[in-house]
Amino acid sequence: MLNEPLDLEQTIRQCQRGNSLAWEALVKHCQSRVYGVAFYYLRNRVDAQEATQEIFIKVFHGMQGFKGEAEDFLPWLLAVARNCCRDRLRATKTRSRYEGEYETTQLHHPAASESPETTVAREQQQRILYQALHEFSATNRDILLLKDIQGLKLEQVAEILSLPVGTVKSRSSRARIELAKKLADLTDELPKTSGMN
Amino acid sequence: MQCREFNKLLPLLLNGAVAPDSRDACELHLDTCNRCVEVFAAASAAMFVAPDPGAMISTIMQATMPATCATSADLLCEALDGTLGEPESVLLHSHLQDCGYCQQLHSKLQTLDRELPMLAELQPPETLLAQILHGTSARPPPGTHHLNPWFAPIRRVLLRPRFALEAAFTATLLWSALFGIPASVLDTASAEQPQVIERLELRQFWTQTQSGLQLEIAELGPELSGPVSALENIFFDSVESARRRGNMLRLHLADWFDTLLAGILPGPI
Repeated sequence: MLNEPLDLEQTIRQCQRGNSLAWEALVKHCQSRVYGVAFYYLRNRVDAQEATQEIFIKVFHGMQGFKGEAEDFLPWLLAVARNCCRDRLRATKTRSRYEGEYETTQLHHPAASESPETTVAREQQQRILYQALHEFSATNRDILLLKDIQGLKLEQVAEILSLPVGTVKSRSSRARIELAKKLADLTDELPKTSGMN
Repeated sequence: MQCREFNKLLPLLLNGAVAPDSRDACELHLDTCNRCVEVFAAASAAMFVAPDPGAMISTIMQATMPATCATSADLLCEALDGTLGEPESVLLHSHLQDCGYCQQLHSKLQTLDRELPMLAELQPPETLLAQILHGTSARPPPGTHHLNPWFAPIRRVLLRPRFALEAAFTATLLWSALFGIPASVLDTASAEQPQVIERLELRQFWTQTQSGLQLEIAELGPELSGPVSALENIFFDSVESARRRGNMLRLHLADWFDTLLAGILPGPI
């Protein structure tokens, strides 16, 4: 995970000099995040695993071209991951593999104290959340992924998606409100609006 | 007007339904009758009932600016992102106090803010790391070199298209000035300048030589003395031909055949 005490700046520079140990540390640091992005787009673990390998091979070959600071690495990595997954989705032969339900079983290792019923409920909740996310348009789905899930700043998301910052901000707000309503409709949580258009 | 008439008109007066002439008469009577003034005041107080503040506000807002909750929802997102200014924050909290819908929406958005980041990282399969390292660490990354810190800037300059074009142009000018325009590849008379054989010609030469050699050997059988001479003649001809044509590659190939024959044929050549 990226909040572990890894000197990302030094690790990146060592990778660019061909240090294999630094590369291994970087892969360990980022693989769960890249795998999460791949699963978000491709819906099943097998394809997400293949895509993750492909993404890291592209990152490996593109390391020399990365000239930014440590804080620019995550947006760059996520941009590569997103493009790679979108290329896979565009392939007509394999598109049908990405239309089914999300395989959310055993996505996370359950805590030792978690009961099986809690695990099933959590997986069901995640499946509902993924399905709701996938009903958005491609652009809104990308914005939700990059900003609200991966935690990038508005400016970083705007640069990756080649959109104005204002557009990203307004779309993000609308998408979150719509997502909240979708999920609330499933559980009838929200009362009738008093003055909503 | 008498007090009895005033009492009869009192309900109409309170509802505002009395005729103008009668209202004037009632007002004149109130100016002179303290008892009717007290009765009128008591009756007026009993009529006023304060409506539910929330419902009243909602009714007023629906009649004037019905998009309040839409505005509130946008401000909720900004508040959760920490980008909402102080004046808007005060207005938002004021709205949330009376709007159950926006309160629930706020709660749901807060839940999403907790749940969405949990999708950022997923536990990958245990074999993934090994697969990635196998696919990438088998060879060094492109562009790395033990002299990279020194060589990289020079390499970047050399790889610039403009530099390459200018270098090629300069080299062509220098070559033309020193050696003249190179002769045509097909010009066999220029024996002083060795020329690079075309790949097709080399392949044809190889095929012809190999097939000719195989025919010779097949025909010869165990009687090698005569054939050795014949083979020698074939390759001497090849060597001479290559030398005449100034073709260095053919010459090397002929030398290679010579060495090969020396190894497989007995007796001095």
